[in-house]
Amino acid sequence: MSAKTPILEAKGVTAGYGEIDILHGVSTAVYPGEMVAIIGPNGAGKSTLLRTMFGLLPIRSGTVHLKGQDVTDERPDQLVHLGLSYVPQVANVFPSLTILENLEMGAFVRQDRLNDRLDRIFALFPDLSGRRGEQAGRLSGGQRQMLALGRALMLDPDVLLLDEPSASLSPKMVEMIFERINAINQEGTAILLVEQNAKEALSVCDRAYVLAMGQNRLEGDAKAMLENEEVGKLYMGA
Amino acid sequence: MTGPGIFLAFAALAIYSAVDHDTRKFFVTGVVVASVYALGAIGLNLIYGVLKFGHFAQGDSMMLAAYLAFFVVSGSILGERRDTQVLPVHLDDLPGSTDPIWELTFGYSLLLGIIGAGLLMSGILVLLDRLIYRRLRERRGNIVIFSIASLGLALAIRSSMLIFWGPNPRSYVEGIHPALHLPFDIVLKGDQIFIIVTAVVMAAAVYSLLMFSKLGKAMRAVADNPELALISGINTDQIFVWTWVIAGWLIAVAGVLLALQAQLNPNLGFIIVLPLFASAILGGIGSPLGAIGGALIVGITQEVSVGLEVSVFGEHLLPLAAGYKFSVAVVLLILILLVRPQGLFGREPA
Repeated sequence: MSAKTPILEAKGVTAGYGEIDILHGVSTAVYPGEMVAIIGPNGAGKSTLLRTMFGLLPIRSGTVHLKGQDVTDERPDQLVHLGLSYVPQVANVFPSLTILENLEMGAFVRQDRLNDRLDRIFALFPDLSGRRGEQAGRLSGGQRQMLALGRALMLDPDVLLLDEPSASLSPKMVEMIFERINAINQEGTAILLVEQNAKEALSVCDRAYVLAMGQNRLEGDAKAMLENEEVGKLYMGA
Repeated sequence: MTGPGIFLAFAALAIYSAVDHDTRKFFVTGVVVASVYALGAIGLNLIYGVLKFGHFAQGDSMMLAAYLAFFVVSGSILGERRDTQVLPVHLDDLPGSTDPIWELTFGYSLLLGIIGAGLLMSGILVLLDRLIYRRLRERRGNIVIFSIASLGLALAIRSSMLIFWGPNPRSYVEGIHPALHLPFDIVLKGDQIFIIVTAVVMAAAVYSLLMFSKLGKAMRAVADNPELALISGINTDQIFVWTWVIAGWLIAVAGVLLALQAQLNPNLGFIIVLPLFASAILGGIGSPLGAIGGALIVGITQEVSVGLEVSVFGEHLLPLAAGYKFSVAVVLLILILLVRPQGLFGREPA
């Protein structure tokens, strides 16, 4: 697995809000085609790590590389051009825009083959297809999450960052969303996802990192981690 | 469901004043005034929606734009000894440019003047954004800081009008102009018809831009969620600049229409800030379309309040003396904020 270079790599990243550091030298790597989970307790810095890698928070030390290129502190709207997409946990659709307009905004930076890419999203999420003209603010939680994924996929990204895609969804919806995420990964998009729902995440991912108190605690094969007693005790309530 | 109730009450007033022969002329003037307010309030809501602050310099910017149009058309500006100088190059010098078009008081030089004012006003607003608002954004100033900054700019703009054109009111074209007698006993000046038509065309253009163009959709996206817009790859700084450009055109057209309906007067911009905010808030703050509804309510109610006779227990409540008519907007605003704070067409707060 590690013979190749990572498609996305954070090295010793320190960052936070205001004066306070949340991350203290965190490192993660995602290899092409991989699906990687970041799990850990509340306040471990999981979401902060994604936001920092996506240029939404200034990096105080450390580096981020995308496809071998140094993108430390690059602006989000520039990272999008380089093949990185991000789905925040909340407020991840434009509520007053229609479904179609939301997807068009996802493709803001490239207009070529727009219809092909729209068709692909509607094939992946048939629920959205029949309601293109509906305002996103009226969608249910699950549909909203699908639209958020769809918006991020409109650029055909090489790497997708997902912040708690299963948060506040019904168990049935969680299963369905993970199944779709898996399908997206099968098509070749590398995925780095942060999850509270550790069991579900580990069962679909290739590798995983455990974060605690803004530092790397563990990393390794996801399936092995499912069996790991310490992880089970700490983060899965087992 | 107070929104439809308020709307119906207003519709009743509007229809009554339009049907009643004595008040019809006030209703018609109200529609003209509302056309000007609508463009100003659409601009306010556009700025509020995208940049998230109340632009208190809106009225004074409108008046400045009206003076800029006057300046490029007539070349007039005060000299060092406070006397009016006429620059050697100005649009009125173009052949036939002051010959009145149709029943209007002005020729094509003023139409070119509107375009000139639009270009200048957009440029000025983009420059002010660079110099002031962008710095505040970088420091993450809150809505109050932005609004107070715009209030300061309003004062500076008003003073600059006094410096360059003096305190005396002016008109684009001097003299008295007869009105047209239209069917249904409607009496309107040609210029007033121009005001209504131009406002409708401008509002339709801005609506189409917001709804159907890529830029307009991106502006709505930024208004909805600026961070998600950035995440989607939208360069939000660019959207801010475009918002000022479009606001500049709205302000320029609204300003010239205001000066056509009333006059060029450095103090008028400040006076109409209140009705503009009342229109914007009534319609639903941040909703450009709602601003049109709000402007109709404020404009028509304001004008009709000067002509309609209402007595309660023998006390004359209406008509108001003309000088009080601007207070009508504020009273309406207070009443509607009490019963429906999100405005008539605004979304329920989450």
